[in-house]
Amino acid sequence: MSRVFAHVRVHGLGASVEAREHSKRAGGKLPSAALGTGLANARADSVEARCCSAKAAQDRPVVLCDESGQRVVSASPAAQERGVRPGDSLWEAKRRCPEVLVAEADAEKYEYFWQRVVEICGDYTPRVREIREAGMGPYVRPRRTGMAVPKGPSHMPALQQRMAGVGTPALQLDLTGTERLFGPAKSVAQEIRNRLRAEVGVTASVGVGPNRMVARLACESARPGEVVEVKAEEAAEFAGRLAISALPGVDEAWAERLGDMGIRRGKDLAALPEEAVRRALGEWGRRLWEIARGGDPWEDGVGQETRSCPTDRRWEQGVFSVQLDLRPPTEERERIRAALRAVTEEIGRRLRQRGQAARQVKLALVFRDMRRVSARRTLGEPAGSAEVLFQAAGALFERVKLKGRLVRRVRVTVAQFAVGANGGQMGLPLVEEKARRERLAERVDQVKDRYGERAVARGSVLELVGR
Amino acid sequence: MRVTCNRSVLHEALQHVSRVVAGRTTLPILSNVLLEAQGGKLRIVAYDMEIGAQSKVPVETAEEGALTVPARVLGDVVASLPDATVEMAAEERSVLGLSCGRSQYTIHGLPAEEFPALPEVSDGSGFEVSQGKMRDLIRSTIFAASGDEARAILTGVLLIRGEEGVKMVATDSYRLAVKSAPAEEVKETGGDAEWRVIIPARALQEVNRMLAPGEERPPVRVQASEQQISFEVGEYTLVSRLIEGQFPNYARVIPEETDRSVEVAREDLLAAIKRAAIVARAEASKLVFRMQEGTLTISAESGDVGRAHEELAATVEGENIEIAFSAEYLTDVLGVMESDSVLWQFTGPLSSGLLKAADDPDYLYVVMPMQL
Repeated sequence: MSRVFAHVRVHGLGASVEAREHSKRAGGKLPSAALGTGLANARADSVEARCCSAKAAQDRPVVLCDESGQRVVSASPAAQERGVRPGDSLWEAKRRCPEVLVAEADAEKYEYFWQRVVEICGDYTPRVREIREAGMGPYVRPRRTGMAVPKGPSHMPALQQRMAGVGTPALQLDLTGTERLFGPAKSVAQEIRNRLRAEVGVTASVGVGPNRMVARLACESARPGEVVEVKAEEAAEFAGRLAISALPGVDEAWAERLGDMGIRRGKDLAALPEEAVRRALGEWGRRLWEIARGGDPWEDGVGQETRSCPTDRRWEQGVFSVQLDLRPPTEERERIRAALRAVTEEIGRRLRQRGQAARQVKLALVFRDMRRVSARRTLGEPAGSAEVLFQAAGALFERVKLKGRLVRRVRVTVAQFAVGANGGQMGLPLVEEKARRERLAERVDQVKDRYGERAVARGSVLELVGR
Repeated sequence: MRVTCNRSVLHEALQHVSRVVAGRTTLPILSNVLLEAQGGKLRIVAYDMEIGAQSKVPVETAEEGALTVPARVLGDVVASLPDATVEMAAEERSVLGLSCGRSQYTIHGLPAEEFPALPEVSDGSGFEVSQGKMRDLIRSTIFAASGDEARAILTGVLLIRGEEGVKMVATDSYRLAVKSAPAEEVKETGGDAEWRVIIPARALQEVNRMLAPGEERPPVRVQASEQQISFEVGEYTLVSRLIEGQFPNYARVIPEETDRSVEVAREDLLAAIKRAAIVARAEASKLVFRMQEGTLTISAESGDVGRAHEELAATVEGENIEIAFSAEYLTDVLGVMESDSVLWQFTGPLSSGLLKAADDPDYLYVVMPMQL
């Protein structure tokens, strides 16, 4: 069965929500999401009340600012029509658009609307992934090679961006096999876009493609509110047509460097032999080459999943992190422990892949109000086993008193790496159970390598992250 | 309480006891030492709810009584006093007045009633062994215990009392050290003839500090109950909570048969390993050993640092072998051995190595190799 994916990007969620709220208040009608449709959530009433109590205003351009109050981090479509862009100073925004309304970011409200966006997409497929902002995650070029991380709001972690209502949060939908139920993927994409506009009041652009990467590139090439479909047979040609700077992780400096090598479009890179690209640009370049040919180097990889955004950059800095967002945020210790299990298993897998072990384990919990606690522990000896890492992170978690606070993100970071599993040191066959666990972990790795990250999972983890 | 004693005796006793005082604790009383004057003795006690230490100092008692004072403050004051008679008196319920020559101090403490009672191990099984032998048992094994609190069992040392004597075993799952004291060196003091307990390595470190070699020194009296063990050496007593759980079956990892061996001078081997380890630091201290035709070669290589190559004369038996070990795991054991030469036996490059002191049949050390 040929695969088909949709990439849904919501533009300026926070500013759009504020703009539509003001507009509809003035017109006497709110988007249905704001009236609590489909959300039997205890928070709905309070959020709705807050929406309705907002000062009525005309349909006017709205921007959200960063913490300093001086820089625009999100601009509604109306503001963008008047030339205001995220990253502008507030002074500049007001100069270009004197009537612009500067709204106060309301993280809880945006989370409420975002959950509605996720629900609408979930009506068409259970396989919905939230992904990071463009330029983040595995798409970022390793720092060692000189590729700068894009500046501006995309520096903020995805959750933080969404909570502040800034950036362009996105979802990836695996629509494979849904055609019989909902029709062609492009129709589904159009329907989702229309429903998001009508029910949530946000503008979304949607890309449809044979893999996640092409769907994403198609979405990025789309104007706000547009749906762009790239069929499997067109993928290579589509990616080849793109300017090299449109490919993930290629900033101005790298576009210039690649340009000096005669690589200005995707097809220029795709035409080169794979080995030559790898020699010249390393593994990152090889991935870029695959993208330029309409492929997806992270097909079913963890890099794009909600729960985990490990990047090469983090490895090079001597640390490695995996995180998991809990939806809804929870204070149930069992759920949080299951999240710890999920992230430590992934860390263990990555360590095994690299033949490394880590001596230090750090746990960070981010609460619903974005406050956080963290604790770290140095192990007696480097560990590569997920079980040992889980025990260490679990012991740190036991010391955390939640005091009724809801945890929305769990992050485990490992550091102080040693070469080889357990530093290359072989272990005595003292405990048969330990040896069995290690063999089991190896077999599970093999299954995941062949059938994908979620082919095998613990029951508790499966309940948490879904199938 | 009002007592008079010699400063140096008091200082020595405080040094022994105050090492077990809890460094960071939510119970302030655990940072204190208990001073209890009774008869002609001053009892000094520290206890962190896991390990407790007690020392008895001969004093002239003018008035019996007890109080607790911060261990660190008292220890520092006594350490810096001139060598003269020290007079200590409880000025109020929990204030200690201390004078020595023309120096006078008052130290604020807490009432003695708040101090937790040190567990008594009176009806357990036990034995006596000389201080020198107990020191050997501890030094030969304690370094192999794990420092990883996630594996609590392995942070302890297994003490086995049996008909054949006493045995201590420690492992961190990469190496194993087993040291025995034969039955003729152990004196039965009652209770069961056979028992085994897991003692926290930290407690044994403190016991080791109490010990000194020499025939004329009093023996160590060991008594164990289900949850506690005590070590008495003269006027010093250390009590420790035992680690609960099942120690791994260590006997299964001791190679029964080996087909290759090398005998080499211990000090030469230790010195060569220490030198080569300087280069190997960046590579997890990995040293490669080659045994062939009367020579033991040690090499290390680090891309950033350079190379090391050492050659030692050795008696090699069996086929040539190339095998890698962690320098740390070898220097630890070679440092505590006292024999002139060591016998090192192997079965293959991916199997454990068995290290024995040539003149000590009661000690063996098993260490796993590193991947080549």
